[in-house]
Amino acid sequence: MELVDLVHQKCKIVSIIGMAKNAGKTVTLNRIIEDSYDRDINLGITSTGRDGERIDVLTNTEKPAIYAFEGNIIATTTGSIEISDATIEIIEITDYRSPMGKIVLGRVIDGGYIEIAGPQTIKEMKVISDRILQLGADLVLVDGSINRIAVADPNITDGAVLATGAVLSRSMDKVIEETLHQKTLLGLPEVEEDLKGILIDNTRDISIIDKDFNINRLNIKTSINSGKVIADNIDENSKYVFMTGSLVTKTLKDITEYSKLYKDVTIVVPDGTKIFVGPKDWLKFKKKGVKIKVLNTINVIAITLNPYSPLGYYFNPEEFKEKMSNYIKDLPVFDVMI
Amino acid sequence: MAIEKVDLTKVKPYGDTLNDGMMQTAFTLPIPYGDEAKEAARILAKKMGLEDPEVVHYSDLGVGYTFFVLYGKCQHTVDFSKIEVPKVEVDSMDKYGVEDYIKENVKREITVIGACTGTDAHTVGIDAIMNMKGFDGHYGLERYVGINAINMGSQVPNEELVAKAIELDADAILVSQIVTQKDVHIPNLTELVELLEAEGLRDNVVLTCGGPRISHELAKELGYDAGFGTGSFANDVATFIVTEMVERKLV
Ligand code: B12
Repeated sequence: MELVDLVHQKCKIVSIIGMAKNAGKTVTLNRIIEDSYDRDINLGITSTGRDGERIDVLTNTEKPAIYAFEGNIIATTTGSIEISDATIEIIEITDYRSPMGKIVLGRVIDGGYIEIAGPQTIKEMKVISDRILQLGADLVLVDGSINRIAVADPNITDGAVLATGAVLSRSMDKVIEETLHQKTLLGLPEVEEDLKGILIDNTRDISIIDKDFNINRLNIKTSINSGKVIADNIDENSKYVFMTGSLVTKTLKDITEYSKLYKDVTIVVPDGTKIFVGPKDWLKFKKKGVKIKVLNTINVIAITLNPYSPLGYYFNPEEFKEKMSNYIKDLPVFDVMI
Repeated sequence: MAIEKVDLTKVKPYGDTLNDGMMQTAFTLPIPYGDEAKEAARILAKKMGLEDPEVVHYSDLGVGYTFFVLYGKCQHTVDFSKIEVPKVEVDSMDKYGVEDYIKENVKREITVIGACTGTDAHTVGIDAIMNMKGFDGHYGLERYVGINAINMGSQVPNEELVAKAIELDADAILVSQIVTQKDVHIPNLTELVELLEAEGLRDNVVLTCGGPRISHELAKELGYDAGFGTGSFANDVATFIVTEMVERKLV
């Protein structure tokens, strides 16, 4: 089955997120666009960054341009519309702002190359994507930028394609390690349904929850620098620690250092995009018996590979794909460069 | 001296006569000092498009490396008349203009936090924007009436910056990135955006970055509201912050 079929089956709004710049997001996007055209799926297209510009601002390398077909609905900036080849009927100029002008919704009248640069924040992205669906798109593609993955939050998009590639490191093992780690975070298991209901409905604060689901709301605005406060509030009856925002390495470290009971609780975060812990530290915490679950698991649909790095080296494509597939058995892996 | 008119559609380097294309370039090659090394440098310069390249200086760096300085004629031209660099689209108010604007449109003191983040230890850029005495005749944000400016200094971890922004309920965050070797500034800048999104804060702040290699287009990709390059002053970023707050209804 092609990537587009998997995406279309499972999602209305899908994000294409990358492990780094030049990991192959735009190539993946283009593949889905082409295949959607063949299957008569009308697309909506937008981006958290800026895509389709011919020259990459960072590396000065040629970037693949994006071709939009007649009927596609796009959300991009006023500045991008001016330099696009496609003829675009402007449907709406929104109030959302970006460094390249306001965000505009448009319909492609005559196919052609376009530059896509959508809203800057994930909340705005959600509103814009829903609007694109309303305007008649069957499927919305949200292209990520650089290594930003916040749009994969299940409250924003309902599935994600993760693009990875040789650009991450000259060592294939390192690329696989980092990709596997990212995939693990995105796919962290959800807490039980009853607890999920209680957390979503009853607390917007960082809280400790006991076995009878009593909620102890901590008077802190963020978990950053508050690992000790959290640890001090964990007692024999505690079962869950609920984080409302981010979870960074130092917070985890402080919790495990200041509480002997950390193994008896499960730390719950909203979803995998909120975790800022690298692969090595993650494994260390796992070994120590730290348990982490999420409110919403991210629906990762596939991993795409780019065996080429713009730094001038490349991996053997077959070997790369085979090795990656061996480590990531539960997800389809596509090489988008072939 | 005869003043020849420059053709702005075909600009070329100037050595000692207009359009001679003369330029100097310097680099290091990982090969031992000697005649072969010198020839290698010359061939390389030729491949780079320099006509009649000449090695005018070379020296042994030890460990088998050699440093070269070459002169040569550049064969390329640029069309200067067609160059457009996207800039922040506001005509900057001066300090007093910003102060009046705050009084009339924001109607409260605003809090602005600045830092040079990650491993970057260059403070001069962010100080130029924030410090009382400012830079090149432009006072810094600390001196503005109506702005509570906090400069966290250099080598500030992103999470400390975010924690501070939450603690003080900041209206704007200013990040400086000067070191851009191996593009270290990129993941450092995106990490901050991602942390702000994770903390649910991104929509509540005006987020700007600055530094010699920061452009407005890069800011778009990074997820920032604006990017400020060389030659920016406090009143430029102050104008942006206050007008953006009003446009986005963050007052
Ligand atoms: C002074 C200096 C230092 C001082 C810094 C002292 C200090 N307290 O800041 C010291 C000696 C410590 C230093 C150290 C290093 N430096 Co140094 N340093 C410089 C130097 C000479 C001047 C920088 C400067 O002050 N510019 C003046 C300010 C006013 O300009 P600016 O920073 O561009 O800021 C303006 C705008 O960019 C903008 N702006 C900047 N930030 C922000 C933020 C916001 C929000 C806004 C709105 C605007 C804005 O507004 C400012 C005013 O207009 C430059 C070379 C040069 N001439 O530029 C190298 C330079 C920056 N350093 C460099 C390097 C490599 C280093 C070291 C790594 C060297 C080493 N190998 O150890 C270390 C790094 C240490 C570290 N961890 O960061 C390189 C960086 C190369 C690169 N592109 O990555 C440079 C370019 C030199 C070179 N050509 O190699 N350095």
